[in-house]
Amino acid sequence: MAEQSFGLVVDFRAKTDKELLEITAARDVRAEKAFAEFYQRHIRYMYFICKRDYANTLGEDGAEDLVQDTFVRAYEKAHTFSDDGITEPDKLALRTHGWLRRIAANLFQDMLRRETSVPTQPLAPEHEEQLADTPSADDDQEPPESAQMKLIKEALSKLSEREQDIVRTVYQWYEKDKKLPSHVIDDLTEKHKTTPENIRKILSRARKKIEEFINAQGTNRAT
Amino acid sequence: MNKSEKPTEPDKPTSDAALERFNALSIDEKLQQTMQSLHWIAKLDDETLAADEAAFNQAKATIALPESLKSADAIFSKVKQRGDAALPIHDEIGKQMARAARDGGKLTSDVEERMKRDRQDAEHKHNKSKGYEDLFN
Repeated sequence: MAEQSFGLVVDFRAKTDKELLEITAARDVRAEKAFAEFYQRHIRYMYFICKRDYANTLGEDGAEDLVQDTFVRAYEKAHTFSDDGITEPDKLALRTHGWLRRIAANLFQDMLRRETSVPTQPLAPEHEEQLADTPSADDDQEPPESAQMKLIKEALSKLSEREQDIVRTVYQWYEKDKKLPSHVIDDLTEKHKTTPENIRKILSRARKKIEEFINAQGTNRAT
Repeated sequence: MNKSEKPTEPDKPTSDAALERFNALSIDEKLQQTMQSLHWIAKLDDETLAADEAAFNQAKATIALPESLKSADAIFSKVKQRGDAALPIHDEIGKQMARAARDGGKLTSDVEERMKRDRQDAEHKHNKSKGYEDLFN
């Protein structure tokens, strides 16, 4: 997709995902053309993934809506994309797909929260068992449950609904040794109608509660 | 083998190694893996993404996009709709303040002014953020 801009021909096809998203974020006359190229580059992948992972729950139409909403968020949050300095095209595609899928995963959880009772209540033990029994494509790759993981599950189930939602959203974006995109806090601030500072406090408090629970229970069970 | 003896469990080096790996993780990594195991969050590590990329490449030729997804125009329409819907935010703030005044007692004008100022400061600081923040260290 080539575009004439200020007398120069801009070939968006030659741009990297990061460059396209930077132009999109600038919101100038080229923004929509740049994003349209980004969209065409990744739409088939996102449709494939959302249909495979979410159509069972959302239906075909719901999965299509999820794909659209993911790209809406990608457009709005284009400035937050980081390619981590990756230049190799294959690895860059993985990075972009990871970013889009994290957006989709959080939107999916939000849809569930709005439309069903899951997970608007803290998880009860029987619900945890039910979830643990739910088959998934990568079940055989999951680590076996250690005593520590059981404790963490127990600790998570004791958090309030709001704490669970904040912890879940933030850890969907967690990548070791990397910072959190600030739009995650923006979105939580908007969703929970509070301040960014309060979201950070709730997260920190929830994390502390979990650590304290693990330490206390671990000590109790060892004695 | 004596009939009363139970056969010994075969060694499970893979499971043991996985347990050891889990126990050696940081609290943040443990939390993330636990939530993945609960299906609270999607597993999106490099291995998973690479495997899905391969699956997609195999299926790519057979994927037919529905009409609604063929062009980005629907995305731009939705972006515009969301932008329009967000405009009356100041009215909403006013309503929330009015509700706080009703439920929590009367707010004096200087308190109300301070609340507005605090909010503006917070929004300003927030807008200055570089797009990333360090919450885990």
